[in-house]
Amino acid sequence: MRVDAAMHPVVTKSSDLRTWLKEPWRSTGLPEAVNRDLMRPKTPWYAEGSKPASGFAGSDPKLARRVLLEEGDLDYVVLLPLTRGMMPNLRREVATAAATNEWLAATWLSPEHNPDGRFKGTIRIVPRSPRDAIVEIERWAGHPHFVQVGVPLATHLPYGRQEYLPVWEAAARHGLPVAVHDDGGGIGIEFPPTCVGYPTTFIEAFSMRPFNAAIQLSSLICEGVFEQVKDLVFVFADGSFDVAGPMLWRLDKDWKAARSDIPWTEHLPSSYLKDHVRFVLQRWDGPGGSDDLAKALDIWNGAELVMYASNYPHWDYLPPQGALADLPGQTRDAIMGGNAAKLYRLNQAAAPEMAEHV
Amino acid sequence: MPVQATALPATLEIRSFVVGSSADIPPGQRKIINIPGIGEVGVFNIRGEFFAVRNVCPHQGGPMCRGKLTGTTRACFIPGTRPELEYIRDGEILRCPWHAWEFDIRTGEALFGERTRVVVYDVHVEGGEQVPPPDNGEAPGNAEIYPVAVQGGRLVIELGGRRASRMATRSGESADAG
Repeated sequence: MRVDAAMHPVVTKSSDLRTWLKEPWRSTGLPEAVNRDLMRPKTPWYAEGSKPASGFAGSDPKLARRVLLEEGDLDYVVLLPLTRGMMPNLRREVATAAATNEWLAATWLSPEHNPDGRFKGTIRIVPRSPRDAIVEIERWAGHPHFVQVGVPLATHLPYGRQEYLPVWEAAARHGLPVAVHDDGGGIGIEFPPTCVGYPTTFIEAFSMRPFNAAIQLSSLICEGVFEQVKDLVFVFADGSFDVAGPMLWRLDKDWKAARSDIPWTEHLPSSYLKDHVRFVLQRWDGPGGSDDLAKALDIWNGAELVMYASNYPHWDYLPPQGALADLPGQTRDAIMGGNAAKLYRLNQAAAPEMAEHV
Repeated sequence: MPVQATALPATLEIRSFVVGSSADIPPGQRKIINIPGIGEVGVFNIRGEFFAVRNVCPHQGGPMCRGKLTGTTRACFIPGTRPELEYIRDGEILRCPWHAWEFDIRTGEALFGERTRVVVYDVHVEGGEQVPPPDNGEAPGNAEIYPVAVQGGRLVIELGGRRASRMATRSGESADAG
C-alpha cells in the first residue's frame, strides 16, 4: 500500500471559490488562494509538472491523478486544501472553510474525478469558532471520501486549550484524525510566524515553522487532551517530526519534576504519541544522510509515527518514485503507506480499480 | 550516572540502629543521622508517625532528606471542559532538593513511576511512655477513645527489613542536565 498523506489541491483561479461561497461573502472580498508573501528559493514556486495549461499549479485533478496515482504508483492520495488563513471577520473565515469543503466535494472528490475513491479529502474547519467547526464536521462526516479534519497551524490559543475540546470530541466521535497544516500566510491577524517575531527571509520562516507544530503538540499533551478524548489522533501534516523529538525529551524530563502541575497528563509525555499522534514526513524532516535518517526514525519510533507525503504541487514536492528508497524495507513500507492506510482505514479492496488485483 | 544503592557488606552485623529518643524529633521535624556502613539517613516525624529515608536520591545522588515535604495533586476530569486538580497527601511527599522529583515517603516510590525508588527503612519506637493527648478541657466521662502517642521511646531503624531490601536498582536512566 502506497499513500500520499498530504497533497494540496487548489482552485483553478482565486475567484473560483466564490461559486461555493454563500452570500454575502460571495459578493465581497476574498483573500488570494495562493500566497506569495515570501520569495521562495525557486521560481516558479510550484513543482515541475504540476501546472496545467491554465490555472494554478495543483488545480487540475486529472493531472494530479496522472502524476501521483499513475506515474507515482500511489494507491491513495489524501487531499489537504489550504483555506487562505485567519481572517478578521470570523464569519467570512467560517464561510471560506465551508466553501472549500463544498468545492472539494464537487470537484476532486466527485464521481467524475474520483471514480475509484483513491482521492480522500480533508474537512476544513475553523477551530477557533467551535460551534461552526462542529457543524462542519457533522455535515461531512458521513461522506465516503472525507477521511480527516483539517485545522490551521497558526492559532491565537494553542490547541490544548479547553475552548477546542468540543471540536476534538466531535472529530474523534466520527473517527476523523485532525490534521494540522500551515494555512499559507493569511491576511494579517495571525501572530508572527515565530514566537519571537518576524523572520526576514523565506528560509527562516520555512525552517522555523515546524517549531510551532511542536508547541501545539506540547499544548495537547500538557493540557491532558489525549486523556480527555481517548480516540483523538492529531496528524502534524507540515513537518515537525524532527523538532518534536528533542522537545519530547525535554518534556519527559521536566514532567518528572513538574507532573504535579498537570496530573491529567498521567503518563510520560512522549508515550502519548503511539496512540494519538502521527507526523507527515517532509523532505527535510530528519538528518540528511539516509543512514542517519534511519537512525533518527529509530530513536523516535518513526516507523510507527511517520507518513510519507508528496506535498504536491508545492515547490518542495517529494515524488513518490524512489522516495525513502534507502530506508530498511519494513520501515519504508510503513512510512510510504502502511501507517496512513491504518490511520485512514484504507484498503486495497476499497479501490475498485485495484480490486481485481487483490 | 545512575546511583546504585550500596549493598550491605556481607560481614556487617548491624541489623538495626538506635537513633535516639523519639522525643528528639517532634512532629513536623526531621533529623539526618549517619549510620556506619549505610551513610546518611533522614528520620522524619510526620504527625507522630516516623519514617526513615536514605539521604541519596536515586536520580543523581542528591541529598533527598533536605528536600521539601509536600503533598501532590491528582486530576479530576470534568466532561466538556478542562480538568481540575485536587491537592492530596499533604506532607507525605518528599521532593529531592536538586531536581524536585516527588517520592512517596511511605514506600520510597517516585510518583512518576518507572519503578524508581529511594531507599526507605522501617522505623519503630521501643519502650517509652504512652501518654494521652493533653486535656482539651472537655467534660470527662464521654465514651470517646483518645489516640495514644508514644513519647520518649527509643527510635529504632530496621536496616535489614522488608523495605530496605527493596533498594533502588535503576538502570538505563540517562543523566539529567536539568
